[in-house]
Amino acid sequence: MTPFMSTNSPSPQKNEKSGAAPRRAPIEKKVRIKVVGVGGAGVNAIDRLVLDGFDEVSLLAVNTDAQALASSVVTEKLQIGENLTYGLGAGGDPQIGRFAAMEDIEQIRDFVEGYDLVFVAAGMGGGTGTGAGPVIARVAREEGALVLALVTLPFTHEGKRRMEIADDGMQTMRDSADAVICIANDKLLALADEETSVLDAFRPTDEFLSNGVRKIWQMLTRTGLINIDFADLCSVLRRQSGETLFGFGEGQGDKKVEMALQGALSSPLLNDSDVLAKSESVLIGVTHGPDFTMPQLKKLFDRMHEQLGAKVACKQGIVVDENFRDRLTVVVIASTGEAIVTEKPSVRPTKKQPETTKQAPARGQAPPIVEGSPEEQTLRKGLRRKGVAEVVDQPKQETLKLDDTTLGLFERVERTVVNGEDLDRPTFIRRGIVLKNI
Amino acid sequence: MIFSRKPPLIVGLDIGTSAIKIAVGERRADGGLSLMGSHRVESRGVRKGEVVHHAEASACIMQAVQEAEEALNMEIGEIELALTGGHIDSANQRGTATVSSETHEISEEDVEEAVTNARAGVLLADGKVVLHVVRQQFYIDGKDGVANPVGLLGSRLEADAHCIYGIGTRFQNTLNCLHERRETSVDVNNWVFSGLASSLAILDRHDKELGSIVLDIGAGTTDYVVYAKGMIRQTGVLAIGGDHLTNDLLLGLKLQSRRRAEAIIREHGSVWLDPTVRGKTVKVKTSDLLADRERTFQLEHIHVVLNARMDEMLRIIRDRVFSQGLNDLVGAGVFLTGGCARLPGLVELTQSIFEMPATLAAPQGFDGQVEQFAEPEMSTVVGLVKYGQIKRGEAHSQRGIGAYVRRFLGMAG
Repeated sequence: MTPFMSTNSPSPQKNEKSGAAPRRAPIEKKVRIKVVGVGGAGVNAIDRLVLDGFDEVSLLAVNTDAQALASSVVTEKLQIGENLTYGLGAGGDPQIGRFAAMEDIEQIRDFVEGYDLVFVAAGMGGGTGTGAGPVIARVAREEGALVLALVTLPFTHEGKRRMEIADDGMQTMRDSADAVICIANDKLLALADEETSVLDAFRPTDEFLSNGVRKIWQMLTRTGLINIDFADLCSVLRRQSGETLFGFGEGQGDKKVEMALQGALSSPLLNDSDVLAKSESVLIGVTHGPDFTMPQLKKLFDRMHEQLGAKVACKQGIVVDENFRDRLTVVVIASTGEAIVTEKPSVRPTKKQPETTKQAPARGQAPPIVEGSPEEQTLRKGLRRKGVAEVVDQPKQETLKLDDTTLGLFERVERTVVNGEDLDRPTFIRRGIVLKNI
Repeated sequence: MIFSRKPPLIVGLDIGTSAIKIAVGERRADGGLSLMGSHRVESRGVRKGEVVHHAEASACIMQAVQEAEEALNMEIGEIELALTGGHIDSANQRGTATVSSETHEISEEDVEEAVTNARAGVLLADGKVVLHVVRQQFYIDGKDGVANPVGLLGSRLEADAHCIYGIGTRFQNTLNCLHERRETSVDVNNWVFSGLASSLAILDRHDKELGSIVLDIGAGTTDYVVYAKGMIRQTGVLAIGGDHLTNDLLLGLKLQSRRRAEAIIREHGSVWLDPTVRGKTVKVKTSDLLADRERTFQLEHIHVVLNARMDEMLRIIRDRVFSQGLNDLVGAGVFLTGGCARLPGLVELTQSIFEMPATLAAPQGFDGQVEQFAEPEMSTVVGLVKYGQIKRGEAHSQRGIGAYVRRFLGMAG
């Protein structure tokens, strides 16, 4: 199943056993992030991360097509559904993509296990991304991760049928991941001019995905003047059924505030731009240089709030970076959060980050935030456990239940293993029986 | 009513992977068994014979019990409960006791001591609990072949016992589902390994003496019990059943729905590879993501997928039984029962793999509403009632501490 698997994930320590003298050694708070690219488009997107030289997060390329997978620059690879597709890809059939993921679900589980935040990047409309993407998202969520799906929708000119498959896939993805950020390829046409080659036309998508991962990583790992941490991200995104918006912008010079806001709020790649007005919770991360003034900051937030609804819960984070003299970046993550009210607020570990004025220690490279409090650990555990529990008894599972029957009956039960052989996998597949012309 | 002499009815409850079944019967005055009624509801929250979703399973059980109470116009207070699961295993052990009385007459207490020592000889891993200690035979001063040594003379008594055990917490998952119903309180009289119950329902004394293998193939598990010379020699569970057939076909034919796969197995399934089906096709309505359409399948493909699964399952169990050297002691052959036993071709396939006669078996040896119980899928639940009847018989014939201990240890006839 994994002919060219290299190293098995750089072992994110599984839930450290607590109680082992948490007081003496301050616990390193490092959010463990995994980015999984599924199918052709997904793998292209994470290839972009490697090409951009970003090596702070763990990457995994997943595909049914052995050849496409072999050409990826990512080191960690997983070929799924070899018995179903013989390494030839899913042929545009999401059902095959889904079964392929089911076939190797335990390996997928091994890969995503132990991560706090998992991005699943996939293109909708084809076979592997559409079918396997949601399965991977769901497995990651079952393992307790916050799962953020980054998906692309096909061009309209690719045909109605493809668009319908994509819409179906999107729906399944919404049920499977905590939040889905959606990019319509059609919007790319708006960016392209007469001269743009087809190859270049896809670049913005990949760059957007790559940028998105990096910005979120930075936001979570850098110690700011006002911090945004993983709990904040969870509170905005965990189990959202509504729309999710993700945008970022950069600005320079006199107009930097306007430029950054423009980029963050009206990214042409975002599918639905009026999400912001409807949103119920928003995270705003700002990185600026030491020369940034208070009136400028006020202007930034005032402008931002003009776009937001009145009831919005807003969490702001500010990082001061020596390298950002006369520069500014703004990251916005918002969700309309229709489902959020059904959750019991008492269960949610709303840890308010004390607004301490910590000195940003190093610049350029962000050191991991060091936190010594045992509560921090409990919180993290709580979040993880909560994630798992939700998978089990969310009312939303009604839709997932349907999936259960098609995804295999033995997904959540103890495997039947005799003499080291997993008997839950179909016998005919293990015996290498080929059914022709199915 | 409380002072009525009439003994209460015996109720068997089988929480299966596909269905929850209840059967009600009574012990006749002559010691025989009379069955009165049954009820069945579709099961949820059970996989491979074990409860995996407490709330769903509890609700189904509650529904089954309530509906049975209404349909049969009775109150269900005590039940005999079937337990299974892939973790169940068995072992044979011998225990010794020195006869305590001065006259060297062997008493029930000596027998208990020997059996208890046999049971103690089974080394169980942490968390494992014994479900049954079944007496096999006794030796008096080294002489074997004694079925009941009480009252005979000797100084040294040895007992062979067959212990069936499994993981305690896994049994508890199933037991906990009954506690949901505290307001009407269903108490468990006996918990019985479901394979053992099935074997009680379908085998007569003759089959046990000749030696037989019982395969109870359900939706979630296949339970097996081997009798030789009238004694239980081996029991076990392989967590492979009809659900595996469904799942294999689902993946093999790339079907979308489980129900569709089950329907295809029901209508066109066979596990025997017959060369004459080659080239034959069947048309099945399937629904795609977009629209309904009709697909045509090679009948051979369906049979190949199902055959591979059952062939493998039968071979695994055959190897387990034969590795104990029991094949020469089985004269009556293989008895196939359970909801999946009806699969066309299964008898032939079993005969060819075990190289001995095989038959489809349904409960027998009772009167009352015979037809509704004489079905292979009713074996476990009828066996439960039979088990309850045997227990009552024991309690009836030998009151006192010995009978109590035997009850407690959960021994079967």
